[in-house]
Amino acid sequence: MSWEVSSMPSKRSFFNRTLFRRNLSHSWPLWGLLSAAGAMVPLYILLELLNIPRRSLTFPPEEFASALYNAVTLFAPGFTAAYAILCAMLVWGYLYNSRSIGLFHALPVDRTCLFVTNTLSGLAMLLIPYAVTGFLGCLLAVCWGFFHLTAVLNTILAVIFLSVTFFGMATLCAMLTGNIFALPALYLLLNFLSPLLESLIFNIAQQFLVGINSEAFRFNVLSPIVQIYSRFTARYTRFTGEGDPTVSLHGLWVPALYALAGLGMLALAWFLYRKRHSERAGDVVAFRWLRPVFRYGVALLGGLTIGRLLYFFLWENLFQKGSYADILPFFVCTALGGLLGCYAASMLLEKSRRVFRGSLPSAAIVCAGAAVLCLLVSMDVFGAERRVPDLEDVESVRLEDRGILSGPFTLEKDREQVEAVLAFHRSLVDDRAYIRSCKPDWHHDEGKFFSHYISLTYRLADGSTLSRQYDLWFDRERVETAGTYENLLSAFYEDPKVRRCDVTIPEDASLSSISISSEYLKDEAYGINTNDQNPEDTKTLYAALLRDADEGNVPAKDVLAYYGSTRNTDTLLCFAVRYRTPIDPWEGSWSYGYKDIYVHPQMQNTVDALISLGYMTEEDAARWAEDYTRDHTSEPRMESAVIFG
Amino acid sequence: MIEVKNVVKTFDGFTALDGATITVPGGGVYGLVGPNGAGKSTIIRHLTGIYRPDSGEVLVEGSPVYENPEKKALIASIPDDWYAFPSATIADMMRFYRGFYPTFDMARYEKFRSVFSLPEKALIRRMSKGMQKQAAFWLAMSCRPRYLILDEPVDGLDPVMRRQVWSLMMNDVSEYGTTVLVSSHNLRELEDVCDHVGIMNKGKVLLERSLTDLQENIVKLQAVWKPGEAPVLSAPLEVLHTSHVGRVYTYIVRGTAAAVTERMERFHPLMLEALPLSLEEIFIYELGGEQYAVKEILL
Repeated sequence: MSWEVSSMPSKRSFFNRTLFRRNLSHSWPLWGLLSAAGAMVPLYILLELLNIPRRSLTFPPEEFASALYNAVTLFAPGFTAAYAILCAMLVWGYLYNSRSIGLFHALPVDRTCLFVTNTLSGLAMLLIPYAVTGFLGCLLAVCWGFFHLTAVLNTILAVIFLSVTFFGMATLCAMLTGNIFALPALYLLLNFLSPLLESLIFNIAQQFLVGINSEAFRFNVLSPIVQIYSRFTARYTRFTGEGDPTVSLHGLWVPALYALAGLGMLALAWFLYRKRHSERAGDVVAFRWLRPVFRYGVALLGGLTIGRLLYFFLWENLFQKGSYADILPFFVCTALGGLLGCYAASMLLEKSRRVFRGSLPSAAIVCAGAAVLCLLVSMDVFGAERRVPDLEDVESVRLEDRGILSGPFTLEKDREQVEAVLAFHRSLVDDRAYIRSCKPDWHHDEGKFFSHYISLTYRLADGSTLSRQYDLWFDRERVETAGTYENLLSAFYEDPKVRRCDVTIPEDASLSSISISSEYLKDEAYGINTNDQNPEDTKTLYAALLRDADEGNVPAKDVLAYYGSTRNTDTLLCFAVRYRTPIDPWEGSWSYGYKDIYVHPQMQNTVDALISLGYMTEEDAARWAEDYTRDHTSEPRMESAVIFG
Repeated sequence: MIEVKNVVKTFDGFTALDGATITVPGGGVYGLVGPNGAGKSTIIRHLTGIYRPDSGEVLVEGSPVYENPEKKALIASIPDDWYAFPSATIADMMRFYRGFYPTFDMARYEKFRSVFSLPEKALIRRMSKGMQKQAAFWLAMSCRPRYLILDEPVDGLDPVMRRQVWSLMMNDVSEYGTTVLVSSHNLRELEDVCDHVGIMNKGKVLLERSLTDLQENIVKLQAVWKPGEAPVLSAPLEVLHTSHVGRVYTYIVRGTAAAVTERMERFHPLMLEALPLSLEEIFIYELGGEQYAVKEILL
């Protein structure tokens, strides 16, 4: 036999059928089981359909579309994210063992061919269960006449986008790690890293800075699973009451964008695979330049999590004086947590427990890092605590004073009131040292301090938002002192425009219902929903409320009201005004809100409306006004207040 | 021909290959010897395209082997820790190899079935080490490689199978011109089969020569002298080592057997005999006078 004949130069190949077949045959128990489980769904529907008498069978295509959209928005992202990492572990598992990597890399194919073939194998494993389930479902839909072509095409696209997104991410993780256990750990971390880090950093900021909130995550865009679940939704128009019921898929562009990112990650993974050294099999990270990233990354997470826990258990509950953290113990705990993380990372990198001396320089860097972090945050180097926007930069501000105001309200056009809120915010900044030191002793200061939870959310001219939240103590004496935040807020609540805002639903909202609760209602019915009686009553009562607001009948809120008031609550007459607001059409359908409004006897238009609509008799109304005045006028500043904490 | 030129490879600061250079001529058997940790397996992983050198070149027929499927298709290797998929049988692995090696010869595979007598449908991981080694030979030789690279190839094989395997390889060398590179720490194993030998220690190739060159240039002489008349041998005889038991003197002398014998005859020994040296002895005396710790290497 002549070698020259048997070994003709072959053209470059990007795909190897044998490897593809081997990958699929090797993993068939996994995708086979999932395909079988998926096939149960159409089978179950088939049995249901067979069980329904033909003439009563009504299963419109919209129901089919709804089922598909629910599956692809609620089930598919989580399932794909979890399944993608299993597929990646199966196809890239050879990279983590020096023997298997020797076999694969000695084969007469280049790494591009191995990469392309393994990637296609992994994607095929991911898509087979979807394909089986989808095919059987579509077959059933065609046979029973409820097939919905648009929904099927949208679902196919969504599943492909999700698969590319998560498999791309898993493949990138596979290329960065050198150990089979490090792969899922990194994948999990990357999926939730940005919200995790942000919440940890905000948590630390909250320990030192006044007013910092942690509600709005800015970098969720780096976390596909979180972003897809929040923005990729099925929208039902049937709930809006507009036209025939329909269902549509919203936010398909989100998985589409992430799929593009997934392709980018695959390209980066391919580049890394070509650079990767076979001898890294078994190491935690596959590249030398990743070692410091890993070491200090783990140290940072250790400092933020373990350090915070240590501080909570060893100091905060036992020795901390005020509501805010003491910097020295906080630094010690953060440094300890960081050192634990650093040494754990060093042990994993060196595959040895004898890393103490070798890691001393890293330990010093970690301690310095912890000190810098604590100083940066506690000294508010970035000015987060002191930041108050200028009036001209504010488009609107949403104010919430939980338990005091009827509900949150937004000020936009009333610039005087916006300026008043800004003045209040500035006073909070000026008083931050007082706020930080204030922790009343309820046993000795009873009746002097009142707790407020106040939230301010600005929408700024540049399109961004600024949120601040304050847990404040209101001191009875300081309310009378000019320039204090207690005094400014109290004056703000006196403003007639603010009083009107307090009972008004947002401009773009539509009124849903009003629930009335009182012991003085007709026939002693404690609670009545106006929609149950007559939907028109809702509009009539709300119009009466607004008339009272316009005529100045709505009393100002008392900043010294608080939860647990000892005043008699039996004589209260309460309206729960429910409304809904259309939100960003990409987001979904409606946002629901309500206001708890306490009616005062001087709100004559409202009382008259209640009597004319038959919810109260004139006798009950008179009895209520008498009882109410007796119960709620005995304390200072109560002349016109409607109070309930 | 395989050429390794000044290859350096370090692993986290440890230098596994330190400017290693070998040249493996085509159509013969090249033995790479050295103690554990000498760098034999590392050099083999470079030759099979698994490792990329930090510096230097690894060439097969003039082209770099790393990421070169065309050249890698000419090579079959059996590493010391040969890997088969955990759920694979020999038949599965045969299909796997057949899908990658364009020269895979099914007829040969069938022919070797009777030679190796292994259960084709049994899981490889359940087989003994020796059986796994046989399976590796079966598959590698069925690929009809132009270059067969073997790392400690006959470890675990019984003596009969050892001879069988060497016989098959020698047959390929003579019939198809296959080039075999075999690493071992056992010189005696290689003595009968190698044409060329390279000796490695601490990441360096200390010596590389053909076996003929080595054997023709050094000779062991045994001479018997009259009591008290043993001469002091000096130039032009280059004596590497002298020892004696009673009146029987043993000399290791550099030079061909004929030339050295002729010169020794001039001293009129009572008896003079030229004996061949084993490969192990050649390495000891060739390098023993130098600074290298050859004995340490060979033991």
